[in-house]
Amino acid sequence: MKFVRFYKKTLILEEAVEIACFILLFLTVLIQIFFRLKPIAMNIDYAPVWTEELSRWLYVYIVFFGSSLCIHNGEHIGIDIFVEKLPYKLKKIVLSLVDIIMMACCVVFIIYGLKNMVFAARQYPMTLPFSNAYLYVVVPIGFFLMLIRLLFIFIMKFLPESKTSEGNE
Amino acid sequence: MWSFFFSWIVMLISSMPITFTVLIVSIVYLLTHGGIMLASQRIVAGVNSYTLLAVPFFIFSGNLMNATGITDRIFRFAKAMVGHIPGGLGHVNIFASLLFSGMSGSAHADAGGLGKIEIQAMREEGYDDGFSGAITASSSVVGPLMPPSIPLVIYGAIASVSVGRLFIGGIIPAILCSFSLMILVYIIAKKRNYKTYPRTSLKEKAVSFIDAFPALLTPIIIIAGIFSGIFTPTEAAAVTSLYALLLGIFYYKTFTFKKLRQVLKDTLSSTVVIGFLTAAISVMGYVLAREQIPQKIAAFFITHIGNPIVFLLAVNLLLLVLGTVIETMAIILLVVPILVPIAVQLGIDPVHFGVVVVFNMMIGILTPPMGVSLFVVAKVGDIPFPLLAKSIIPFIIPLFCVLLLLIFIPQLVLFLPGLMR
Repeated sequence: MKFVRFYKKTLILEEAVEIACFILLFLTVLIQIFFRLKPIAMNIDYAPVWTEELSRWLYVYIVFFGSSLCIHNGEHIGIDIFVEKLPYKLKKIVLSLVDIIMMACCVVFIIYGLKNMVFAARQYPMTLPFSNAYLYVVVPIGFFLMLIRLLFIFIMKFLPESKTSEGNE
Repeated sequence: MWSFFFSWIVMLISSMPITFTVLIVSIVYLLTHGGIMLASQRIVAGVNSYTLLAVPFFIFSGNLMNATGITDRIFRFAKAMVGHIPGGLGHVNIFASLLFSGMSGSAHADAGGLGKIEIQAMREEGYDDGFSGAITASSSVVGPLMPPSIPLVIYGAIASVSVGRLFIGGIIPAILCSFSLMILVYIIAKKRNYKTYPRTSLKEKAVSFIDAFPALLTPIIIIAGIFSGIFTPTEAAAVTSLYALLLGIFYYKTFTFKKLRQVLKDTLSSTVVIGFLTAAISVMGYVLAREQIPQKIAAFFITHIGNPIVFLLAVNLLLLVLGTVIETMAIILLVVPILVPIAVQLGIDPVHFGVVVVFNMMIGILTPPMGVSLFVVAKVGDIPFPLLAKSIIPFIIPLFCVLLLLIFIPQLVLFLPGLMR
């Protein structure tokens, strides 16, 4: 399926963003320590003030970009020992309901995340040259990506199922 | 408020990810009571913390240590040191975990990386799978007690307690924990007549020590760095990762860039799961604070239980019960902000409280049905889960005794941090 292949490609993109953020984060923290070391601080008159804030922002990016990837891989932890014991049909209904509620939650966060951007655009962080909107933009983006992943999983749950039942008839 | 908790519990048992259950009840509350505009700010604020940044780096360094084969060398060193005690590889397993815990901050990295080697070695020597799996799982709990420690970083961040003091507060409990497990292994080994290795020569000991030495230096770098003021716990975590990376590339020469991608992938997925949970719970924390839940619980405890020891026992009982079904990190995030102010009011040192809570949670990862460490060990060791769940039971007893010791003798935790002042 063409659609599925395209979808898989978007996953690689997400992973690339995350890895880039992580490497940048690693370097930022190391730069911060480097300029504090005595032999360096004595010779170079430069104290990076932006590292602390930038590293925090990068961590926020990693978390919000990555959580949709974790939804795809089913890595967010839930308690499934009770649901596993339910009869098949009931279990399926419960799981679908869970997906729908989660998607609704994403929609709420997208809407209010966008509304919040208006306020955030007027605030500025201490050391970085961008407005806070660049930080809070991860909320609508992150939840939008999660919504897509959830929707995909939700559709996939029904697709192969309908095919096999057709084959049986 | 009752409907809030009721719907939360219903969602929790319906297999929804814990993160989302927390988010959903919170936004429903905010939508109905006003203040939904804050949701977006709160969720970002939950992870926008410099102390919490230590978490991804400690996960990273633990994964790097496993990928670079540093774990093999630690295992060999441990074998040379304690392999001759009755119970042989059982003691090696415990001792190696204690050494490795000085480099990794989570029980998962220990059970997953080192555990694989340990179980393989024990299987080759003819130990039964249940016994070796249970030792591996139970000894991995020292990972988050010995510095560095991911749960203690998170505790420090949400309870505003010095992470450095928490770290060294965990050292004695970690050693006690390993020691109590070794006593148990000794007793079992004597009873079942397990074979032992001949005592190794001093030369063999020295060779294996030199081979493992750079890796064994890590906890000392962390502690010395934090307390001499060269770097913060977060920076210590980054330095540890860099150190592991450099050791792997230049000293042990076992590291390839192919491995790096897998390491990054594993690191990021654990980071994100913990980070997103922290973010979500910060939204719920706001709701609970608005409803003054922590104050109400505090008032209840203080009027009914005035004694700190009784309070600690009650809290630990509650946590042990919760720990059997809910993932431990979620419990720490949920319970700590509520309980720490009460503990402080009752005159309990927050460092003592933190180490006790984390130790308790580590027993939680060993108790089925929701024993994360058991899942990991069952997976890497290819041991049937029911067998492991049965074999782990005797190993919980010594850990439980250590927990009680820690509750009744706060000095076990507070002695070392006290020296650092």
